[in-house]
Amino acid sequence: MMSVNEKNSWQFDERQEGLRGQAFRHGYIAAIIVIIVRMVLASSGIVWAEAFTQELIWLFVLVTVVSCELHLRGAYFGRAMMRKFFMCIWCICTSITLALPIIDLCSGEPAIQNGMLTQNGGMIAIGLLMAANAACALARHLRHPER
Amino acid sequence: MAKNLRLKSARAAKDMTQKDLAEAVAATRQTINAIEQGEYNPSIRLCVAICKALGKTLDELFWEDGNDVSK
Repeated sequence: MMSVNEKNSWQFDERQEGLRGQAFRHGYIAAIIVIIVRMVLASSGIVWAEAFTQELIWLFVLVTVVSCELHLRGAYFGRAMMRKFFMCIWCICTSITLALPIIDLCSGEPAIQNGMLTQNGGMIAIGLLMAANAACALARHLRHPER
Repeated sequence: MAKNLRLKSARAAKDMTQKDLAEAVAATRQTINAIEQGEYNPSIRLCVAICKALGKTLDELFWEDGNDVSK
């Protein structure tokens, strides 16, 4: 029987496949909810951010929903080194995404203007979603530390 | 779901770590740990593989009775 080694294989055992299936099913449901919310907002004429920023935030909402569930339920990357690499890159990107708009915020650039998120506000929202993702990964790591 | 202490003791009797058993049945250490902790209900295919690896029957390892430790 072929061995499934967590550190050196892209293969997932039945539990991991099940976790992935459930997480992506929930992501699919979240995508449907996001589409409905976007439709309702668009038909009501509510504009809460620039079009590009809105789409980016919705995208990150979906990514965060799926990846947080994967982290919290104990799913793992196919390769442990790849996981550490991705998490390092993700933490660096999160820090930059959050730090730059917060510096702008401190220097007086608003996050919300005329009832809409500014580009600065959009970056903060995305940074917070990324930070939530990193926090879930950290929580998972503390619960099941890599050997 | 109850903790599976019989699986844990059968594995210990064979002097196998969770990782050894996981490799023998093509699963991960986390999955074996989850089964022992009663956090995961394995498929019949995985149960049979575990039984073969430990030289036990399905009844001996997976049949729940009143003596099982509830979580």
